[in-house]
Amino acid sequence: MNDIHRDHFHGIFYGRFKETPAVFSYSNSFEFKNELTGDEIRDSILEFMNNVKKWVQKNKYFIGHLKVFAKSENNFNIWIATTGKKINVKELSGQDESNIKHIDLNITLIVFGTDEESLKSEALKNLNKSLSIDSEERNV
Amino acid sequence: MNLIIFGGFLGSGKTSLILSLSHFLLENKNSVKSNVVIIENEIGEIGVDDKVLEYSGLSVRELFSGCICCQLSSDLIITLNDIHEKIDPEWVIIETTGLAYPGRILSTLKEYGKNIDSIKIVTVVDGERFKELIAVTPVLITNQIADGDIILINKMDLVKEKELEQIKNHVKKLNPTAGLHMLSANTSTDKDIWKEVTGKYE
Repeated sequence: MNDIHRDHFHGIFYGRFKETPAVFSYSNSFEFKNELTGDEIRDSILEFMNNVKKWVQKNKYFIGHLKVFAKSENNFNIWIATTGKKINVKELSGQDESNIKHIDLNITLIVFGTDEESLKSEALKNLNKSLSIDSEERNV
Repeated sequence: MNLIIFGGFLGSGKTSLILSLSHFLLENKNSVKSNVVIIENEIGEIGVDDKVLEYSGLSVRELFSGCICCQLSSDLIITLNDIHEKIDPEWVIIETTGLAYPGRILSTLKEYGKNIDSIKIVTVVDGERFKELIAVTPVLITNQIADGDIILINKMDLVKEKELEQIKNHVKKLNPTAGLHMLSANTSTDKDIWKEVTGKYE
């Protein structure tokens, strides 16, 4: 195949921040110390999102989007996203689960105006605070 | 295969509208063969939106951007060829990342794509954040709008009438020839919009 990557170039984002956004991509699979309900997990993720939003607003950065998908080993599935305005929650299934011990978590945070290290540091700090997640093992 | 490329900034509502379009296509399915496959391109190493589409029972193929500036390129062509060989659907919907320029993807497809009957670009505009986005990434937003065959101004329920009119006029200046619609992905989408997008099911 011919080289069809030739369109690849950088430096096209010359808006207010004159830079490309920082991206935090995180995937982890872990167990809680105690069993949680679906509502408790949703509220913890919302707390995490709100804390990241506050950090962005305080520093006058700009959110591309913040997205989280979480699923339990049974039927609990939830998708939560925000552009910095209202937080949207799609409770796909299993919201009445009350004994969740294990979840898989996928997170993508895209923020303009900051750098990847600062975003990662803030994200992991808030994950630990809201969901007691401090492992970076599968942070990708 | 008929291709529909969804462009538009991060969080503009592309995934919700793709869900709506997919259901429209499935409802109007007129052959026994599988008729919709979605190619989901997300920024980062892991998918989030693809989970929502898969949960709805849709056939989804993932592509990940190694670098957020990179456009879909060789991976897209390989994936399309694979989809044609194994599934040969009537429709392939491509959800680009919110940072992609749909026109560049179109150029790649025109040059290297095979077994493609038609290609249409739908650009989704975030009505709620339009003014902010024009300030933060003006080149990207301008190009995404200019590249669209059809422009959908989403989240109209969250914008005051006067501001909505201003957005509409701004979009028209950037792309006077595209079909323009205002909608809210939170409510059901007018089937006439999907008929226009597909150019079928009249």
